Amino acid sequence: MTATERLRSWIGETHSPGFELRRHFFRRFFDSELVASAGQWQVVAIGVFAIAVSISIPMTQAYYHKYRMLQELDSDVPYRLAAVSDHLFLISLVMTLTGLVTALQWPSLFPGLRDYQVMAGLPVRTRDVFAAKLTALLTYISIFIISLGVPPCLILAFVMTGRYYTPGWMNGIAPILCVTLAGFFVCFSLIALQGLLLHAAPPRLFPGISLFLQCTLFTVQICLLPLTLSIPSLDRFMDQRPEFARWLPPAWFLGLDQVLLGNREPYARALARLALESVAAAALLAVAAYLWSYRRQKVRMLETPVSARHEWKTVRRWLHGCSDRFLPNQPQHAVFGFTMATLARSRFHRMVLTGFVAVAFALIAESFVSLLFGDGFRGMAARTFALRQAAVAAPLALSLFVLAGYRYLFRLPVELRANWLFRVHEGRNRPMLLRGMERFVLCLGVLPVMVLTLPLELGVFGTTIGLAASLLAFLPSLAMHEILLAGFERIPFTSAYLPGKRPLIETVCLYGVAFAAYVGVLSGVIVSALQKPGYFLILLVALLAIWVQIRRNRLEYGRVGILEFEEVAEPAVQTLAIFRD
Amino acid sequence: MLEVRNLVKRYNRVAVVDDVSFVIRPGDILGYLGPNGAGKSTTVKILTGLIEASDGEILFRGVDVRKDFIAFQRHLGYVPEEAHLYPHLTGREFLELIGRLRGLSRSVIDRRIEELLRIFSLWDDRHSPLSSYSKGMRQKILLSGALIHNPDLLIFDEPFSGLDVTTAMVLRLLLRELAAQGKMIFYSSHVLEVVEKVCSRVLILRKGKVAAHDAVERLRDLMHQPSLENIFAQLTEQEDPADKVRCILAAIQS
Repeated sequence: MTATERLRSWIGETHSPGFELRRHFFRRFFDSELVASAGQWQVVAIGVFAIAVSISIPMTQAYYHKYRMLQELDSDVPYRLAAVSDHLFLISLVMTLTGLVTALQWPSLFPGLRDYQVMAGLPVRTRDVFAAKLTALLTYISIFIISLGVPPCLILAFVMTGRYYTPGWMNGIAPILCVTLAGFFVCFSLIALQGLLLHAAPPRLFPGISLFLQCTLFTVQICLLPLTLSIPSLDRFMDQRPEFARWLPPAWFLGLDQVLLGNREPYARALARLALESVAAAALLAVAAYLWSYRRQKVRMLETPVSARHEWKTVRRWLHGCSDRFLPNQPQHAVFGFTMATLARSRFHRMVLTGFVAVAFALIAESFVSLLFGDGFRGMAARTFALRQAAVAAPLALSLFVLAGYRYLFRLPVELRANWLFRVHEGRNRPMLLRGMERFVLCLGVLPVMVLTLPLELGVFGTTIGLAASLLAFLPSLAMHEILLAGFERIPFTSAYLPGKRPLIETVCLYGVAFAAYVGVLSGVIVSALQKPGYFLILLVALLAIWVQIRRNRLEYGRVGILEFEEVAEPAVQTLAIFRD
Repeated sequence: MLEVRNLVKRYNRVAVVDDVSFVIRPGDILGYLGPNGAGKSTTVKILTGLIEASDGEILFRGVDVRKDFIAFQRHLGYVPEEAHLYPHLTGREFLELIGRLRGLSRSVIDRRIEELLRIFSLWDDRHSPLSSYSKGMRQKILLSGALIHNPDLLIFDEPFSGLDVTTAMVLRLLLRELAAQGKMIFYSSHVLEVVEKVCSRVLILRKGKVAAHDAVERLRDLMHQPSLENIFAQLTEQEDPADKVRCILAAIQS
C-alpha cells in the first residue's frame, strides 16, 4: 500500500468525535450554493485556494519590471519608498480579503441552531462542538491567509534583489509574519465582534442585527479593495509620518514589518507595539467570546421562541391604499409582495444583492479615489471634467449592478419544492405575474438609485444641472431595465439555478465590457451634453427614443409563454437520472 | 363531474401511471390508494397541472381540460402531500399570496383569511414565519389555502398528515359536508381507516395500474375481507410485516 493510499484509508476511517466534528465543520465552510452543487466542497475548496495562490502570478511580472527599473535609478529613495508601499499593499490586501472571507462566513463563525438540532441526539458535549468549530475556523482561515500572503511575499523578496537590496533572511520572513498577523487580527476581531453581539443583542433581534452587520462588513470590505489596489501608486507618501496612522490597522503592521527589517524609529516602534497588542487583544477577545458563549448560546438558540412579526396596522393600511393604486391587479400584487418578502427575509438573497451593490459602490469609490490621488486634483470645489464624470458615473454604475443583481438574484430559488403554488395558480395570470416583477424592479431598483444619487448630482452640478444630470442618468437605467427583463419569463426565486453554468472569467469579462460601455462611455457623453442646453435636449430626446423603442420591442416581440419553472424531480425519478419524458 | 380516461405517465418509456381511469361525480369522495411508488402522487401532479400526462384524457364537466386548463384550475383546490411552503412567509402572507394568485379581491381575501385562521386556531401565529410552524399548523395553512376560493373540485393528498385529533375530526366532518354540498373530492391517502369512513368509492393502485375500483362495501363483499386494510394488503401483495421486523432486528444486531 502506498503512502497516498494509506493516507486515504486513514482519512476514510472513523476517528474521535472531536476529529469528526472538525472534519464536518471544515467541509461546511466550503458549502456554497452559488459556485457548486451541494456536497461538492472539494471543488469549492480547490477553487478558493487556487484563486488565493494565483493572485501572486500577475504580481510577479509587475514587481519584476518595476524593481528592475527602480534599481537603475541613481537614487535609492524611490526604490525604498516603493518597497514600503508594496509591503503596505500586501498587508492591506490580506487584511481586506480575510475580512471579506470572514464576513462571508459570518453565520458560521459560531455554532448555529442547526448544529445544535442535528447533534441533539448524539453523544457530543457542547464544549466539544465549540472547540471543534473554533479550530476548524482557524484552520480554514490559516490556510487561506497562508495561500494568499506567503507566495507574493516570497516573490517580492526575490524580485527586489539588486544593488539597493540589503541581503538578509528577514526580507522574506518579516512581510510573511506581518501579513499573517494582520489577517488573523481581522479574523479574530470579527469573531470577537460577533461574540459581543451574541451577548449584547436581545436574542429576538440578533438575526436582524447580525444580517445587517454582515452586509455592512461585506460592503465595506469590497469598497476597501480599490483603495487597497491604489496603495502601490502612493509610494511618494511613504516617507511621511502622519499621526492618523495610529488609527489605521494596516499601518500598525507596516510598522512591525519595518521594525523587523531594522527600522529603529520611535514612530515605527510605536506602530509595531500597537500591532502586537492588537493581535493579542483580538485573539483573547475571540477566545473569550467562545468561552463565554458555549454555556449561554445553546440555551439562547434553542429556547428563544421565534418572534412573530409586528403588525403595523396603520402602516399596513396606508401601504395597502398606495399599492392598490399602483398595483390594481391582485396577481401583480402577489408577485410584488412575494419578491419583497423574500428579499427582506432571505439571508442568502440579501447577501447576493449586497454583493452586487457593494461592487457598484467599490467602482464608484474607485473613481473618486483615483481622482483624489491623481496629479490633476485641485480639491472638490474645482468642478473638473473628471469629477463631473465620476458624479454621473455613480447612478449609472449603481443602476447597472442593481438591475443585473436583480436579474441574477431572481434566478436563485428560495424553496424549489414550494413552486407548486405558482404552478397551480399561474395559468391565467402570466402577463400579470410578470408585470408584478417588472414593477418591483422599477420601484425598488431604478427609482431608489435615482433618488439616492440625486444629492450627489445636486452637490456637484448645482440644482438645475444636477436635476438634468440625474434625468439623463435615469433614462439609460430605464432602458437597461427593459433590456434585462427581455426574455426573462420567470417568477422571481422559482427556477433552479445551475451552479457554474457560465465560467467565472466569462462573467467578469461580460460585466467589465458592460461597465466600460454603459458607465465609462455614457457618463462622458452625459457630462459633455450638460455643457450646453442644446446638447442636453438632443441627448434627452435620443435617450427617450431609445428607451421607448426598446420597451416597444420588448412588449411587441416578447411573447409571454409558459412561465419557466424547474422543480426537484420525484425521488424515484431522480435515482433513474431521467427528468423529462 | 371529473372523468379521467386511460391516463398514462411515462418516464423514459417506463410507465409510472398506466391506463388509469376513474370518475368523480358531484358529491363523491374518491379514495385513491396504493403503496409507496404506486403512482398516486404522479396522478395528483397530473391533475393539478404540475406535470403533463403522456397519454389519456381528463374531462371536467364533459370538457377536455387540455382545451382550457386555466379554467379547470379555477375550480380546483389542492392540498399537496408534503407541506412544502415558502418558509420566510408568515401564515397570513402565504394565504394572501394564494388569494391574490386566485384573483380574489382584497376584502374577500382579508375576510376569509381571518375566518379560516381563527377557525384553525392559527390567528395568534398569523405573523410568525412558516418555518416556525409545526407540521400540523402547516397542514392547516394548506387546507385553508385549498378552501379559500370555495372550489368545486378538491384534491387532497394526505390531508390528515400531522393534524391533531380535534382538527382531524373537524376535517372528516368537513369532507362529508363538502361532498354533501356537491363538491367533488379526490382523496389520496395511506390512512385506510379514514378512507373507509369518509370515501364513497376507492381506487387501489398497484405499480401504476388500477388493481381495484369500486365502493368499499362492494369490495368487501367481492373479496370476502372484513376491512379495507385486508383488501389493500391482498391486492397490493404486501410483504408480511412480521418478516420485515425480523429482518430489521437481524440487520441492527449483525
